[in-house]
This record gives sequence, structure tokens and C-alpha cells, in this order.
Amino acid sequence: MHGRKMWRLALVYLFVIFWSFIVLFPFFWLITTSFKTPIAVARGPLYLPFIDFAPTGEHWEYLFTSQRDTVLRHFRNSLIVALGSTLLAVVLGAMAGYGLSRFRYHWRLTGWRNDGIAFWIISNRFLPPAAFVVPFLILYTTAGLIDTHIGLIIAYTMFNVPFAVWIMRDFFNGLPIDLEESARVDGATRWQAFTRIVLPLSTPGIVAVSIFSFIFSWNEFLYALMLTNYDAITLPVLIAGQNTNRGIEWWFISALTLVAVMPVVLIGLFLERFITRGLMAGAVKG
Amino acid sequence: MAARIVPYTTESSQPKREVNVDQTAAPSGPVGPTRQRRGSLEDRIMKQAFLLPAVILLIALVIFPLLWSLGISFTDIQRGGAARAGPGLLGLGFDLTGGNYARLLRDQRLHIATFNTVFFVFVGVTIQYALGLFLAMVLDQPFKGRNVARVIFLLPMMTTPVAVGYLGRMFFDPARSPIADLLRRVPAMFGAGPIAVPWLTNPDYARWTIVLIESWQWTPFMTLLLLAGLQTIPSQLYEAARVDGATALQVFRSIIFPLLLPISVTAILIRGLEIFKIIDIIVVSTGGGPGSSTESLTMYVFRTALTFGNYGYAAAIAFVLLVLIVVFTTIFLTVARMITLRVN
Amino acid sequence: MKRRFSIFVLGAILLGGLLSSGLAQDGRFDGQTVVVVTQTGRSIGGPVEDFAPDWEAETGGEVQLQQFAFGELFEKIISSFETGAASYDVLIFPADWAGDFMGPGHLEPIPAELQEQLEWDDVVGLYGERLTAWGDTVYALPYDGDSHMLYYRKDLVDGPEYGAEFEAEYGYPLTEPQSWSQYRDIAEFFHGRTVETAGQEASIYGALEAQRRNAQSYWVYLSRAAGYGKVPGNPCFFFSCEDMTPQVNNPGWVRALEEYIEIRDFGDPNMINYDVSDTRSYFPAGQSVLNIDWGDVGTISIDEAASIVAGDVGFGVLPGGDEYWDYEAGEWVTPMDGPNHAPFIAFGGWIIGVAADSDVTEAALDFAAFMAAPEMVKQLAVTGGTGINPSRFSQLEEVDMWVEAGFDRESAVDYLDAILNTINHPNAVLDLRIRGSAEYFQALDAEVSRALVGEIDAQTALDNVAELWDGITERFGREDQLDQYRNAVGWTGM
Repeated sequence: MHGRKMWRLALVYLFVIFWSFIVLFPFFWLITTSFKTPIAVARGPLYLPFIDFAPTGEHWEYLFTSQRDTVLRHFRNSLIVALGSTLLAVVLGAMAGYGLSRFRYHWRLTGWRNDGIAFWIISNRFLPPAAFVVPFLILYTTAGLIDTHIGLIIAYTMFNVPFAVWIMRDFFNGLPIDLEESARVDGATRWQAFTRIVLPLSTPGIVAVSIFSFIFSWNEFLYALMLTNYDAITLPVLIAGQNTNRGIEWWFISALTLVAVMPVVLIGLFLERFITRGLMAGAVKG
Repeated sequence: MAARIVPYTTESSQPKREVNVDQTAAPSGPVGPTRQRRGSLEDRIMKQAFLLPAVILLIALVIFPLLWSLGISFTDIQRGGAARAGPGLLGLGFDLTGGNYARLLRDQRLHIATFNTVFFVFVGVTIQYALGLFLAMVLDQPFKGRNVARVIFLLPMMTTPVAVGYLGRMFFDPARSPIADLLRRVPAMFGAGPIAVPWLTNPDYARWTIVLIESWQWTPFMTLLLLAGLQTIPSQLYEAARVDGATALQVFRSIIFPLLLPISVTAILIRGLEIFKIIDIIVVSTGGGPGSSTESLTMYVFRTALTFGNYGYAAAIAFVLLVLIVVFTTIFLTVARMITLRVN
Repeated sequence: MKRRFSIFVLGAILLGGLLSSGLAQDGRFDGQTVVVVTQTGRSIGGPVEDFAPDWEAETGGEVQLQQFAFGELFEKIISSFETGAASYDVLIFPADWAGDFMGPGHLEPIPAELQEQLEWDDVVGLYGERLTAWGDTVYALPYDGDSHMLYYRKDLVDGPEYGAEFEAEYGYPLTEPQSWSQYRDIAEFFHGRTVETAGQEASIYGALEAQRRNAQSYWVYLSRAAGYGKVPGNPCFFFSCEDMTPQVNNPGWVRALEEYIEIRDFGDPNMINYDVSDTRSYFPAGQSVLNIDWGDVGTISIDEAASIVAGDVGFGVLPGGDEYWDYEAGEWVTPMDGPNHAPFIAFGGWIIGVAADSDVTEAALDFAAFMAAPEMVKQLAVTGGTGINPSRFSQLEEVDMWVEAGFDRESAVDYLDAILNTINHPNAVLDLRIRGSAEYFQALDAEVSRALVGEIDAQTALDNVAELWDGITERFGREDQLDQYRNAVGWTGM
């Protein structure tokens, strides 16, 4: 029996290491490639800096000097849009989630009650952006929202709010109602009970929602390309733009990609448990 | 998972006698008449105030545009300012026409895009489920560093898909990528010549390559979901099975799979629906080529709307995608239900 | 790279000196931001990156560069115009898009004084008169002169080693290919052969041509189609000038596509994913004998950091067709005096325009003039990687400039001759520059791409394109399009 267990453990470690390698190696490659000279790339693949090739910081330098304004502009826009959309999603999602958790709704028009409403809200998450390309283009053109931060924020909210509602509702369902009730007995209004008692207790859920909304908004490409031209254009568009003309400049793309990916990776690394919890919530209920 | 206190039932079994929509959740403290009345009005307002903002937003951003898009698909609206022949319906600048839908039937590029998209979904989901399940079972085992592994596994999911597309392009490059290198060195160890795989240059291979890239990014998602499911399986069941002398396969078939079914269904559904939307990875790695072997429906809508400015036709194509998604969901849930019944 | 760089720096200093001596350092555009939009990469956009600081220093204005992948550039610009977003002030765009930009009046007319300042007479006819103007109004400044040409390894083709063997096999002497069938023969002959490149023995591909979808490769196809489909004396190549019938699926074009597909057998199997930015990197790296591209390969081939074939590259006018399809007569015609050369003014070149809806028009015009200045483009044309090719007589005549840049005299003369013969050729084919040109080309690109991988055959692909083109024409209004096309090619109504 001991032997079997050892075998098993060894096998487990083997697979874990193997898969970790598959996951991490591309990132390692990005980092080393950003330090390679063009010739080193063309002759490639070369793996270890200092051993296989002489690393150079010139691409990073280029990125932070000539390209600095461009990169900063895209970065700043990504940040504004991601934060704005996250805020909106959290606020609206928490409110709706709370409502669906504490009240009983009944929409006569469709005959839905809480579950039905929740299901409808969540289902919006899965609608294809393609179906909204045309109406959004026309709508945004008419409303003058093209190339504005608020325009993109609103568009992203369409995807972030359903998810937020889903997570928050689930979270609130797990919160015992006693605390709110005793607060109300003491004279607090519903809103006060919500903001002063419930929300602080829901920090894990809020963090999970925020992370997901932020990551989604940070990584989104289609709407960004479509709805922004210059003032509000985000990082994914910049990266995708290197596509043909610089397609061969792996060193530059690697550096740029690292810059774009870094914030989200850091969030993921430090706040991983919230992500995992968020993924599992609701989904486990099925 | 610890038992959760659910003060208000969210199960679908709602009390049938519900009439008054102002009723709040059953309070667990003393209720006085004054507070009840004041609570009534305040509660009624607050009840709507909590839910309505999100709902209104969704109606404005989802329902309305969808309906509008359906309408547009029956016209020949072009991106503003495009010169037309004739003033159109009521001088509004466009005509009503069923032409877009007629064109759908003839359009080969659409058929190919549809095939590609469906291919990505089915093959992608299969690979990701199989691999994800396997990895979840591995991660379910207790071992040191499990939390670190979990964190590492998350990384691909958080990278922007366009960047993942580039990674794919670099890694599947036929000459300068580590994969090409691997395919050179390994056969060389056996004295054979390099294996040349036309990852991105052969139409049939390219489709698979796209699926591989997508799977690299999203298998962790499946893994985490399935892992969560695995962790709800009480260990007594495993114990009992071991006592009974069941083989690993039997354990899998009679314990793991059935208990994992609900979350498997959810995971596959979610992932499948996500793959339907694929565009980022493709745009950057192959641009839809070679030929048109990797162009997805979303890409085609995008091209039609943005490059050609043909809004009417783009809306029609988008509806094809929407219908496809609805059909997929319906069929999948039906099949899932059948399997669940069968297994249970 | 070092030498190139120092020439650049010297040039920049010289330019700075020249220009600042002409313009007052008065900060007249203080606080104004000029947004420039063009394609990504060092090509075309690079010079803006490099020289904008000089302009900024003199005028106090600020230049912001917004770049997009070529495949998205058109839609972003047209979107900005048509949605009223007015996001861009200066546009550096392919002259082909004139129909969509100049026609509807999205661009600011160029004032006469500015034209004088830029020495308009120095600009080669086609670029100065036709490509930067719409009707009688000039709407853009010439920046990059574009045409496709032939590149070949003259050390192998003109050298002594292979002549006899080639002649024995094919029945004619091995020399610069004049026709597409000769081009094909040479590709076949050398493909897979081990030859000496820069002192090293290695196997070589016959030809390298861009074939990537949704990039700039369809111009390479069009270069072939020109040889087989351009009727001497008839400027109407893409459409019939009688009734706007697309010619894209006539036997000449079909044959060109079949050969474009066939060349895959004698080239790098990965070319299906290569855009011109890839092939113009690989050809100077010595990977093939033949190449079709814009003039950039010339300057790249003498850049030591990027090329190992400096001095071994021959330059020529595009091969022609042994025969061409006369679509009005409905038959193949074999020209009396040799293959039907029809140099293709691919792309028309990048030109610089100013948006009519810009709110910093003066600053924008000033910056545009700064980038298009004769001294500036002269410098850029001889520098590899800038993407700027000659469009002025002065650039083509001052051989010394090219020699200084690194060409040996013989190659320099060869190169400039090829370009001059191309852009001044009586049978030159102008690119399509009517409304919707981007759309017409997208349709072409998609179907050609499918034929390239064997999804459909050449005739079917081009029939599809013809049908799509008709659809586009109808949508814009057949009469309108016909009018525009006639104007664009200067049809005199014969």
C-alpha cells in the first residue's frame, strides 16, 4: 500500500509539473524574447539568456522612450475603462443581487419570479457580442459615444453586470438575515442596512466580482476596436495592431504584451482565492 | 462545503398563495404595526430601487439593441453616408428587404464560417473537458504546493486573448519556435528527420491549432470548476468503494462522474457558449486564413459591418450566430438532462 | 544598423538645420495636438516617430501617433469620418482610398502655396497629378511612391554557373525574366537547389511571394494579373469602361491566379502566411532567388543588419505576360515586340492628407508639409525600413545619394532605372481608386486566399469575386461608380 501511494504521488507531481511547465513556459518565452536581438530571434529558438544569446534591453528602451506616449495612452485608457466598468458592475450587481436575495419579485408580463429573473439576467452574459456590433455602432454614432471612455464603460457593463448579479446574489443568500433585521429593528432603513451591514460583510464577493469585471474589461478586444479611435483606445487593440506589419518583430510584441499583461497577472497572483471562489460560486449550485 | 443558511428560499418551489407583491422576506424579529406600515412603503420603493437599475440597463443595452438589430437585418442599411441608388423607403435612405436572408443561403463564406465556429465549439469543449477533468482529478489529490499549482494554472485565463493569439503564432511558427525545435530534436534522437507540421499553413491543421491555442488558455477554467465539484464529493464514498474493492474505473464511473454531472453540464455549457464568440485569437494568429479555414462567425460579422459597412447583412449574420447558440443550448441541455436521468 | 543609424542622425540634424532655417522657431502651434493616423510598424509610421520631435521643437505643437494594423486601418479612418468622431487630423493612407476619402469631401484641399513650397513639379507625373488629386483639386501630399518590381539574385541568374544547364533544360538563356513564364521557369530551376549565398552553401527557394490573407499580399497577385490582363492602350483594367463589368474573372486574370497558385510549388511552403513585411525580410536574408514587392526590398538589401545579399540583387520591371487577354476583342493577343509589360502602380503610394473635420487644420497642414518636404522624402527613400520609395524625379536622378546610402553604383543605376521605367511606363496600370476600393479588394483577397489553399479553383474564386464586385457596384450606384472609374483612369471615351 505504501508503494502504491508513493507511485500515485509521484505521478501526481509529474503531471502537475508537466502542466505547470506548459502554462509557464510561454510566459518565460515572452520575457526572454523581449531581451533578444532580432538576429537571435531569426536564428532561434534560443532559450537561456547569457548562455544561448546575449540579452539586450534595447526593445524595452524603445518601448519606454519612442513608444512611451502611445503605450501610456492605451494603458491609461484601459485602466479608466476597466475601473469604471468594474465600479458600475459592482454597484448595479450588488444592488440587484441583494434585491433578488431579500425580496420576492413577480413580473406579471413574463410570469417570472426571482429565479426566472435571475436566470434571465445571468443569461445575458452569454449573448454573442457579434449580435450587438451593428446596433451599438449606430447607437453610439447617434449618441456621440464613439471614442469615449463612458461609451466603452457602458458597453462592458452589459457583460459585467449579469455576472455580478449572479455572484452577489449567491453571496447574499449565504448571509444570515438576522443582522439586517436587528439593525432595522433599531431603526435603520433598508438602504442603511444594506450599505452599513451587508456590504462590509460581502467583501469577498465584491472582490471576486471586481476582479472578474476588471479582467474582462482589461482584456476585451472587439468592442474596443469597434468603438474607439484614439481618445479611448485600449491595450488589446494596440497589441492586435502589431499583427501584420510588426508580426515578425517578436521582441517588440513580447515586451508590449508583458506590459499589457502584467497588471492582470499581478491581480491574479495576489487575489487568486477570490477568483477561485467566484468561479465556484453559483456554478456549483448548477 | 459547509451548510449555508438560506433565509429565503431560492428554490423554484415558491408559495402558491403569493398575491401581494409588497411582501418582504420573512423577518425573524418582532414586527410591530407601525414598522410594518412604514416598512411597506419604504420596502416597496426599495425593492424596485435595488433591482431596477440593473434591469433597465440590460433592457436598454440588450433587449432593445437585439430587437433593433433584427429590424436592421431586414433592411439594406449601410454605414452612414455611403452613396446609394435611390432614396429608399419613405426617403429614409434604406429599403426593407429580405435580400440579406436570401443571401445567407447562398453565401459560401458564411457556411464555412459557421462550420468553423461549430468545429471550434465541439472540438474545443471536448478537449477542454477531458483535459480539465483529468487535471482536476490530479489537483484533487492532496500534495504539497497544491495552492501554488492552482495559482499558476490561473495565469492563461487572465491573459488577454489577443496576446494568447500571439503566443500561439510564435509557438507554432514552423522554423523559430520551441515546438518546431522539439519536433526537430526528438526525432533526431532516434535518427529520424524533423517532423514538419503545417500548424498554421494548412487549412485543416490550422483549425486544430486554433483549438489548441484556445484550450491552452481556457482549460484551467474547466479544471477549477470541476475541481470545485470534486471537492464536494464526500470522502466516505471513496472509502466505501475501496472497502468494496472497486477498481479506479468503477470508482470513476459510479461515483465521480454522476456526482460531477451537474457541474460538468454547467462548465461545458458556459465554455461552449464562450467559444461561439471566438475572434480575438483568430484575428491575431491567422487572420481567418489560410484560405478561410479559421474565420469564425464573429469575425465575418465584424468584417461585414466594419470593413464593408454593410450593416443590414452583418445584422443578419449575427442572427445566424444567435440562433446557433440557442439551438446549441437547447440541444445540449436536453441531452444533459437525458444523461442525468439515465445515470441517476 | 549602426551606419544606417548614424546616417539617419546626420540626416535628421541636417534636416533640422535646413528646416529651421526656413521656419521661425516661434511656437506658433503651442498647445495644439496633431493626431496622426497610419499603419503600425516602422514602415511609414517610423519616420513620423523619428522626426516629429523636430517639428514639435520648432512649432511648439504636439504630435500623437495612432497606428493600426493595415487590415483595420481603412475602417478606423472611414469610421472616424462617418461617425463624426473626428479623431484624426493627419492621415497617412494608401492613395487607393481616394475614392472614399476625397470623393465625399473628407479631406482638406491643399492650398496652392503649400504645393509650391513642396516643389510640385519635381513630383513624378502620376503621383503629382493623378494620385493626390480628385478631379481638379489636390487633396493630399505625395509621400511614398509605390509600384511593384522584380527582385532577383543576379549572382545566380546572371552569373556564369547555371547558364548552360538552364539553357539546356528550358531552351533559352538564363537572364532577368521578362515574362511570367520565364519567372516560373527560373523559380522551378532553382527551387531546392543548393547554391552559394554570402559565402555559404545552402538550399534556396525559387520564389518568395506574400500570400497571407487580410494583409497586403493581393497586390502581388494583381502584379501578375496586370501582365495578362492589361490591354495596351486601354487604361481600364479592373472594369470595363463601357459598363463597369468586372474583368476580374476573365481568362487573363484567371491564368494569373493559376500561376500565383502554382508558384507555391517553387517557393517557401510557409509563404501562405507571409505578408510583404515577412518576404522583404527573408529575401534579403538570402532565402530565395526571386521576389516581387514594392521598392523597399532595394533599400533593405543594402542594410548590413538585415541583408546578406547586398550587391547580389538585380532589379527589374515586373515581368509581363507572353500574351494578354483583350477583353473587348474576346481573345488572347500575342504582342509583337515581346511580353506585355504592364507595371503595376500598386497601392498608388502612401499619401498624406489632412482631415476636413480637424480642429487644428493649420497645424496639421504644417506637419503634413513637414513630412512631405522634398529633403525629407529624399532622405527617407534611401533609408531601408522607412517604407518610403521614390516619387520625385530628384530622388531618381541623384544617383550619388543612393551610392552614399550603400548601393554600389551599378546596382543603384539598375534600381533607379527599374523604378523610373515602371512609373513612367506607357502601359502602367493604375491601382483601383474609386469609392469602395477597400471593399472590392477585401472581396478579392478572401477568394484568392481560398484558391491559394485549394479550397476552390481559380475560376470559381474569381467568378465569386466578380459577383461580389457587381454587388458592391450596385450598392454604390453603377452609374456613379462608372463615372468615378472613368475619371480615375483618365478614360477618353474611345
